[in-house]
Amino acid sequence: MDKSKVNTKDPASLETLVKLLTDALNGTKSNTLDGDAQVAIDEYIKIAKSLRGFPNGDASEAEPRWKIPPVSPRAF
Amino acid sequence: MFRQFAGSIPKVNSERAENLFRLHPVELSSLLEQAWELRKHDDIGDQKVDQGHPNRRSNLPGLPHYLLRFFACSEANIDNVCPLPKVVGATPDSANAPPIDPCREPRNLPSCVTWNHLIYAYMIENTGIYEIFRRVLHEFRHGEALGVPLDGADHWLRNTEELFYRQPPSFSIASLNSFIRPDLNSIRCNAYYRMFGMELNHHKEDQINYVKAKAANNEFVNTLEEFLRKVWVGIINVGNSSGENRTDDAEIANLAEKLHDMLIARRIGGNLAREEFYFVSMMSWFQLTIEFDSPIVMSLRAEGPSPEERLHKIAQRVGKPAHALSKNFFDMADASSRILSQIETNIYKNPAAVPALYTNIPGGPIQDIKTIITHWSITTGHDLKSKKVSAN
Repeated sequence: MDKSKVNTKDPASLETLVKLLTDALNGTKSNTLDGDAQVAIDEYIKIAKSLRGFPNGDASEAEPRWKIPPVSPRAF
Repeated sequence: MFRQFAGSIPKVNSERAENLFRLHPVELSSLLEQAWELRKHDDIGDQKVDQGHPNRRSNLPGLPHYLLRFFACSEANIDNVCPLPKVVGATPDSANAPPIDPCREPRNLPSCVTWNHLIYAYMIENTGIYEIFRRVLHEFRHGEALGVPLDGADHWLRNTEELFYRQPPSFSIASLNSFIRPDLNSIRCNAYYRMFGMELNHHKEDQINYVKAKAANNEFVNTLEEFLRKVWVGIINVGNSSGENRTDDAEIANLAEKLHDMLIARRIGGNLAREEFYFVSMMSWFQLTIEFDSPIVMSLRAEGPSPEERLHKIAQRVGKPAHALSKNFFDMADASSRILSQIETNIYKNPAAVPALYTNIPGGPIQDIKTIITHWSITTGHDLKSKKVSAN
């Protein structure tokens, strides 16, 4: 959040100010990113997903994207 | 790649891993070939990327698809692994016309597969795992000092010996050995040295002789450590609401660009792509082996709660010690691979993108950065969380 954009005559802006002060007091500053930094985050998530081997990169998915051949019964 | 095949990142899928271990070596080899053929090979929008970029590691062809289709699941994998075809109109069906006339067959396979960065192989190998399993194979192949293999371990022994302790078959993407470079250990050490300016911590003990290329990234370690130090400053300051903020985005961007330039310089013309592909696949096989109580682990009576415990037990059985800090190497292998892969896209040369590295966003790089800083500090003894001390 950009503190310089807080306009004390604007209720929405005042909300922002209250949020800033609350976060500062609680030590819970909310982290949001804009523009290029958010693009970098999105790209990073894509890389991580791509390396996992699941269709959507989510390891909780039931089936990995790679099919592996069935094992011969004689292998047991 | 084998952990991807087994669906074992980040958590091992032991059932699939055991099935993988029981396949015929040529089936495993064909999976590797297919992964290479389906590798990511894309430009970014209108921007053409050069060979070496993570989106285009190499232009070298793998085994043609009309040969790979003789192996089970190769057709299904084209549909499943890369759901969206690369070229409009080149649907998986049209890309895989029946093998009536391979001469007329389109070769526009989809492209999406990525593999770990070479740093992953370097980290895993530093545990000593490759040499430890060489001893395991040696003992099982020369006698019964370690007992006889349990059910499933026999398959693992055959596959491991076939894939990683002999000359790969000619024309395979993994066939790196030749009259020019006969020793696989030397090829790996040469690749690590060129890319990172680093040697394996046990290379002297194991007497690995290799060619030290003049074109090597000798500044890699210093640059990476400085980069991590600066990002750490960002991490500890990102929550500041007041007071001084020493985070220097421009400096981090400068260091990220330096890292990008030196890493990509080693990859120009597709250099080291095949080596990276084969070595990260090799190390993922070994990591997968000890990520659970696999048949060979049980054969060796090396069951344990974690990969490093299993490795230490196996090491004791064969009298070849594992690295005392193996846990740290295992823990940072994947994280460092992801971070370096993204650095190689050069996205952080833009200072405006740098906050992504130290801002706590779910799924963002900060967790991996913290992991690397912690474990790198432990394994090297260089405290990256403290300010760098320089002599005046």
